[in-house]
Amino acid sequence: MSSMTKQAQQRANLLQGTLDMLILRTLLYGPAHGHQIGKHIQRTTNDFLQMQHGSLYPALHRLERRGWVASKWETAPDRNREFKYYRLTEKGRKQLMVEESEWKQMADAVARVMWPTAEES
Amino acid sequence: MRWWQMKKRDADLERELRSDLELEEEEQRENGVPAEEAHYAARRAFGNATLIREQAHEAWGWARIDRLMADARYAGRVLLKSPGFALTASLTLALGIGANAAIFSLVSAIILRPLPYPSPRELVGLGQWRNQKGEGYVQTGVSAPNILDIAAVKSIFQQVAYFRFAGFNITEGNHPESIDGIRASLDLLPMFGIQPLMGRFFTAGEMLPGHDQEAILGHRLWQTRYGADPAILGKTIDLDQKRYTIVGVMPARFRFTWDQEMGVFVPLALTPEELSEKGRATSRDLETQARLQPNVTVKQAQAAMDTLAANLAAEHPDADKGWGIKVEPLHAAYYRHLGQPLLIMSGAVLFVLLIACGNIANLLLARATVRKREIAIRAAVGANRARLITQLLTESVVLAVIGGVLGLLLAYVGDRILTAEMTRYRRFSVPNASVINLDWRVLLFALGLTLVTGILFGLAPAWIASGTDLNESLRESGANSAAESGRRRLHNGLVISEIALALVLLTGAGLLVRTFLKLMRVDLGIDPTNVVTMEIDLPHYKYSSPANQTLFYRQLLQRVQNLPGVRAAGIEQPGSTVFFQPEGQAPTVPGQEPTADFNVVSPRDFAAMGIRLVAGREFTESDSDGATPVALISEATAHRYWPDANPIGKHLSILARVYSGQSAGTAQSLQIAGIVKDRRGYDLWEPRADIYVPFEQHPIAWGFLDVRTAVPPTSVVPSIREAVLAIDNEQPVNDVQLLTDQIAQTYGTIGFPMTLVWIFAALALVLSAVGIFGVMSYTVSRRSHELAIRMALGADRATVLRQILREGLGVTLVGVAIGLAAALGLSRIMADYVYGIKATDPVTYTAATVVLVLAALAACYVPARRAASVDPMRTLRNE
Repeated sequence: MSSMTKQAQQRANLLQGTLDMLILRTLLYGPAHGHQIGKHIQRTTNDFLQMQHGSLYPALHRLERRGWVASKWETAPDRNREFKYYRLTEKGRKQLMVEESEWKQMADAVARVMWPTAEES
Repeated sequence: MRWWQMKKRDADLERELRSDLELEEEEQRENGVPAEEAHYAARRAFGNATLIREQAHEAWGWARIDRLMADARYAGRVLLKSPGFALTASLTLALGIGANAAIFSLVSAIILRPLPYPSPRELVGLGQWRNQKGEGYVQTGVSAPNILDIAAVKSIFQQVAYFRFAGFNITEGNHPESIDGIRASLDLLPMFGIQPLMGRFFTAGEMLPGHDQEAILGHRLWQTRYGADPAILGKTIDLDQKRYTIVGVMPARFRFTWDQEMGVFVPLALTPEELSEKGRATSRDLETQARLQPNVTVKQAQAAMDTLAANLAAEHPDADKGWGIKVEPLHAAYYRHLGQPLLIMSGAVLFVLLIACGNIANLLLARATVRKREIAIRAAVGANRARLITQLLTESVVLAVIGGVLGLLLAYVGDRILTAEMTRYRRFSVPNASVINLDWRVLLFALGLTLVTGILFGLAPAWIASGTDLNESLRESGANSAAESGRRRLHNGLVISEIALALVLLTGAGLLVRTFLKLMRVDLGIDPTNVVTMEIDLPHYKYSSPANQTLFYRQLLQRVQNLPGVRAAGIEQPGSTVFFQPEGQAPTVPGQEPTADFNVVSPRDFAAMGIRLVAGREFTESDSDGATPVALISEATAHRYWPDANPIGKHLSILARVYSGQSAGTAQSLQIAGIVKDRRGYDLWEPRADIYVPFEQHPIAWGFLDVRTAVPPTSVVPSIREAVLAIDNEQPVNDVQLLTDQIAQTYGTIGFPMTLVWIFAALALVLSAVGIFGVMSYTVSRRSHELAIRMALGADRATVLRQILREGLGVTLVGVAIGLAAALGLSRIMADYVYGIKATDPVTYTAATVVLVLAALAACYVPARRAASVDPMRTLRNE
């Protein structure tokens, strides 16, 4: 296994648990279609999270099945073509808050273990 | 989720992916990437489309279905690759499932379909019963005063209704017609809960003698005879020359006694005599049905009736001592006589199906050996055992479904045949026989059966096949190790069960065949060749006095007797059951009076029917009205009630009729003039106890004219009709039948169900023989190596042949032992259906065993021959 793909794999693993949260967070700005969501995550992380867009769709459908997002075919204003737009539902908004706080707790916990002196001083 | 929704969702995903992919491509191009490269770059950025789809399916929870579809497709391919196997297996299954579905459609039509009335569970049939010396359980209707006492138990019954069947002639207009009718009590029609199409039910006032002049028409009569006249109410109809006013018409869906469409209902006005205390004993012919109060169970009703019957016996010992009152669900009362035969048939077809399953399981097992490498490879690339079993089970269920569909086709044909046969023999009295079909219950049953069989015959082979040790099977090479011996045990176990099942069926069928042969040889007591019978019913409005009736028959017999080609002519009115008292014997306790069938005959009727005299004398012309009242009795009557003495010259007196409302008049003393042979008619199983009296001393209005001819009997029928018309040019002759046809009907009624069981048993025999053949062939081919070594070491062909046959025989005998034990255990079910033998008849059991063992040996012989013809050199060189 080359080091390139190994790196990608690690990022993908990292992403696995957090992808749902990132999608929900992205949709907080307003409805978007799959391509936009992917591009947005990629851009905001300075290409650190460079995923294959394809992996986004199963995640989107999983979120839809749980009722956290809703979808609708709508015409994009700039392209004059229909895209499948996803938007956050009320349930999704709450879920985002839950996941965010869980993530924060997790990150704090990890930080305390990793850099104890910084915490104590 | 429905499949079309799945399709839609899939299309939606496709569209979403495509639109986003195009956008990506566009953006790449806008960034200055050349068109072609943009195309591929977009795809690279996107990833594997199939994978995305699969993951999305997983997200939707479709993965299971996807896998199932893939398995089913794969199973289809596998089966197509071995069409011989697929064909054999699915045809075998089709036979099994088809036979089961056909018999189940009988069960559905007769037992499962509820009666076509509102709240049918509340409806019950009522009857009086007692244990009759020599006859056992006897059930009659309920007498009129007893019905009133029953109806008074308001906490149990909503309504208690009664009726009598009545045939009417419509005696008006240009086309006279005879129709089925019912004389009904006030509550009868309302009790069923189906309102008239128009008009009303009867009123209480119309139930009184002299006021019973109203009629309610059945739907069909209203349509055919009156062209569905909407203004029919208030018009009249003449029945037997009595005028009735039409007050109602029943709707088309109304059926009486479950599935019969009656022409007309008229009020049943009970006579003062029937309602009097005397009627308790003489009107037990009232068919009685009731509707229970809601929430009252049949059991509670029965308990209440037991108490009532005890009270009645105490208060009216002459009429009611020894009699019980029976309550049973009305539906069950209609199919009571069919329950056991249906159970036997269902058991028979189930056995056939189980044997078929055994065969297919064996085939699958053999195939599993062949497919060992394929399965090992699947396991090697990561399929776990559950996954392998699922896939193999899918294969067997696909097989079962093919078999099930073919089976339903067979069942459809089977239902046609059943309907035809059941309606051909009128005496089957199978309710709903005309609507034996594949209703939703049968379809559901077939579906369930298909899935269960698919899993049943597939599970063990799949379990064993999937448990293969990887290394071993990939390493090639054939028979060895524990797995192989386990497999052989399963093979043998299956064959043993098949043989056991087949033996149970064979003994059952054997018992029925022997019974039938015995019944064929039974002495009917009559000589049916060249006898024609016909019914003549003198209308009471024309022949009102006994003298008129007797005169008509006397004249008729004279004329017919003198027709060319006629050897003997007689008239008979066959028996209604009577109580009688042999005079000079201790008076019997009430409730245990002797009974016999009371037949009125003319002197020459014994000659016409071929009934032989055993002792004493026959009737003569001189046994007329004024002469000593005489009777003849049959041998059974003589043996039963005069066991130790010669009855000739002794007297008997008729007490009352058991069922009929007609009282037999004052107890008349009859002198026994002779004894005649027993005859059997409707009931081949047992001779009836008969009493015969001369028609000159007991005038009759209707009877059968029996004519024995010297020429083909049908050729005489026209001149007989002429003879009737010569006396009365309006008198019809009905129901002309050859006595041989009647007897064929009787045998056919017994023969048809027996034939069915026999066919099932033959199927079982063939299937199990095929099973043995398959297993032995397989064993021989697996062991060719071992056999070759034996032969190389000096075993000759005869030894090898014997060895293989001995192995086959060993398995067969184990199956036979189990089968015999099971058959003996089940023999009690057959006890009511055998004649002249016991249900444990050793001849039948031996014969069935011999047939089965011979079939098994024959099935072993071919593979054994092949084993013996193994060329040791070649076989060993091939290793």
